[in-house]
Amino acid sequence: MLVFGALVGGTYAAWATVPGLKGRVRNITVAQRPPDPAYYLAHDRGGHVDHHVLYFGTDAEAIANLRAADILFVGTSRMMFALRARVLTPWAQAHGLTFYALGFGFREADAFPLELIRKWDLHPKLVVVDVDGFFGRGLSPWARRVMTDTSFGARKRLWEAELSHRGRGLLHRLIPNWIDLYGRPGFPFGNEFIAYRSRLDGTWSVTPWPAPTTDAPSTDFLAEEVGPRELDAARAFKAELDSRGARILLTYVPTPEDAGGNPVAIGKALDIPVVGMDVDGLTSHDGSHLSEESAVFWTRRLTQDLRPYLPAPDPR
Amino acid sequence: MSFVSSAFIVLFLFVLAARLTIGRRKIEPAYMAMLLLASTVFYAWHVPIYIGIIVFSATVDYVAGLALERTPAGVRRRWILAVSLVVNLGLLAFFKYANLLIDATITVVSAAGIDLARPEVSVILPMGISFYTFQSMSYTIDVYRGRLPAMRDFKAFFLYIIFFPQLVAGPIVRGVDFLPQIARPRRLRLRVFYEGAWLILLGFFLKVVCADNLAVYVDEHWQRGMRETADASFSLWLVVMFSGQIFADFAGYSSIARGIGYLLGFRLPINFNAPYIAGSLKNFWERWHITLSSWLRDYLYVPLGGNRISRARTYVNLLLVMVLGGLWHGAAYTFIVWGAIHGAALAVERALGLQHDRGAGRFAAIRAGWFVVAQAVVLVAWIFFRSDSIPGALTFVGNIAMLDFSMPPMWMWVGTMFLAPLVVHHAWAWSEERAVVKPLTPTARAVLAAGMLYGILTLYAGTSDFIYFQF
Repeated sequence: MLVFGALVGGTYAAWATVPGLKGRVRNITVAQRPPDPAYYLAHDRGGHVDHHVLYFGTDAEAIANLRAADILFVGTSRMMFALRARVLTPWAQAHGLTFYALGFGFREADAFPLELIRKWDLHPKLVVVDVDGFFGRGLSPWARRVMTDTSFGARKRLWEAELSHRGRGLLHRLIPNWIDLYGRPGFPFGNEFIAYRSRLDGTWSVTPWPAPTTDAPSTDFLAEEVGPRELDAARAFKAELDSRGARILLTYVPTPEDAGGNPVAIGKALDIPVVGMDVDGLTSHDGSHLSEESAVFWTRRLTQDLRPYLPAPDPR
Repeated sequence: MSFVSSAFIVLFLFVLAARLTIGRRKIEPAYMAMLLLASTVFYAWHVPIYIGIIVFSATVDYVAGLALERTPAGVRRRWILAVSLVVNLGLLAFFKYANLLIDATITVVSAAGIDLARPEVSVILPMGISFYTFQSMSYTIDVYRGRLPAMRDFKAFFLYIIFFPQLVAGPIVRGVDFLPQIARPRRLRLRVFYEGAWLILLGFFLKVVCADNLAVYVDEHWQRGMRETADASFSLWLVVMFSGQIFADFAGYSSIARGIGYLLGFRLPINFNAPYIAGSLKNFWERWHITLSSWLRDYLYVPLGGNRISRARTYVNLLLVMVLGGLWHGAAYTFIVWGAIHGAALAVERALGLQHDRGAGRFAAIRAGWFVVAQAVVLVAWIFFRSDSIPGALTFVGNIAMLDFSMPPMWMWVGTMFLAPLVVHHAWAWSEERAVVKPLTPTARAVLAAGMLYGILTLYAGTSDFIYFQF
């Protein structure tokens, strides 16, 4: 106990003296709570439950809002980090529209959102796709696992994740987790994070959001070929949306390391407009996802480009 | 249910409270009922309906045990044993190997020019089926061999099968070791409590600090290791990281299981003993997953003739047992290759007479050389174990064989830090075995325990399932 006490004492001493440590601890404390009650826990070290909530419909309000959305945004975690509710919400309200961000982490591509569109019989008017690493990649191993899970399994996982999240919150008020504070030493993908998803519009709230580390340049797609697998998947995706009366638009969130996919070529081949392109001067916080300021900037640009394609609002 | 989950912590606190109140002698009926209930909840937490499978498997072996005891030696006894084995292995085959068998059949049939559509068989593998099936089978075989009397109390027998600490990932406990413990009173003494707590702490440290942090690197980069662009340093680093991960993960689980067993009044066998200091492959299997390797030896290798028939037959037996051991891990060709590598290497080692860990003087250099060879074989075999395809694994091995070593970047060195506790653990075990150091004193253990607890609370990585849960 003495040794443990000495170690904890040493930690507190570091807490008080090491520059910047207090701020990092504060970030973690903030991350332990959702930004407001409209958000539910989607990802923490205690468990990734984002897929389960929307697949098993464990949050009725989230599913109701998903089904009522006029505009869907789909893509990988890069899209989810890029879409900022503080830009999208006033924009959608000004146009009398509703939206839902239906992207996922774990490098989830087109197959899982398509499953959800079918499962919940979604009929959006407009679907905006971030093409980066999206078409033709099938289900992620995690999504496959989720889809073979049971409703009992999903609820059990949610309960465990919530309990573990709260337990971590309590524990780290007393003693920090060094990997949370500084990231895994030398690991290029930075800190662990906690993500909450809004049941109103599906956007993620991710904290702590570290400082920008790399440039996220826009890509010149003129030279890049598009493979038949990708093109076929995009065609099938479009056909499904066509049958549901939804219009599809393509976009591309800038990233330092793209996962493949050419919105320009796919757009040309399938006659789909491309929006939100050629946004320069952005940065990434972790070598993959946009930093907070860049995400806000990119979302603004996207909303401007979407203007000509916006559907008429329903009379309410 | 995983040991590393909040649900388990809740369940364990209930059981521990029962041990400290209604189970102070361990044999109280109410405490035994509590253990059965907790074990059932622990198992049903995965897929509730699968509790039926474990009840069915246990019932078959319970009835077979009673029938064997009442039946005099002869053909009828053999039939009873055969029925029990077929049921157990049939369950295992259905849940684990259905897809592999379908694939193999389609390959054979299509080679004959007949096209067959592949039926989709999608079953969730019952948690721990490989472990409890082997436990159950060992009981029936021991009763058949007259080494164990049949258990008359079904509740006690079912507790042996479903006892939650070792249910899903071992150690594989035998009836001869566990069943006599059920009726034996065992008070919770402070020394036992400390020993149990130490094992639990050690297990959690291995799992959440070492294995889970190593897993982050391994999971992120393994696919890159299977590409031709990876150089020797990177690929070698990756497989060393995986060898550390799988050891820490599995030994961690076993340690937690043993520790919980102690606290609840049961002794579970040791399953790992610093395997990476083994000087030979035989010695490796005396240190790695000891309860599986001894199970395979006693219930498969020896009945096949072991080393009693001929040299050639010994080598074939070794190969066969290890291939089946590989297949036990799962329905994938990579596991078969993993087992075959070990089997072939064990046969070669035996042919060269290097299986015994002895020899000094001029033989010491040979022994040291064989230590390197044996550990290299273990590493190569891990590549097949971890990879999802044989071509990918071969590319991985090829990358290392290129020997184009370069200075690894800093992040690889930093990742290697999570191997450091495992290196210390093995070095200490090596020194202790050679009496270079004395076993840890209680004070030293307490200091180490405090350090490990601090590590668990402040350096744990994201929760991931134990690797052996999938088997």
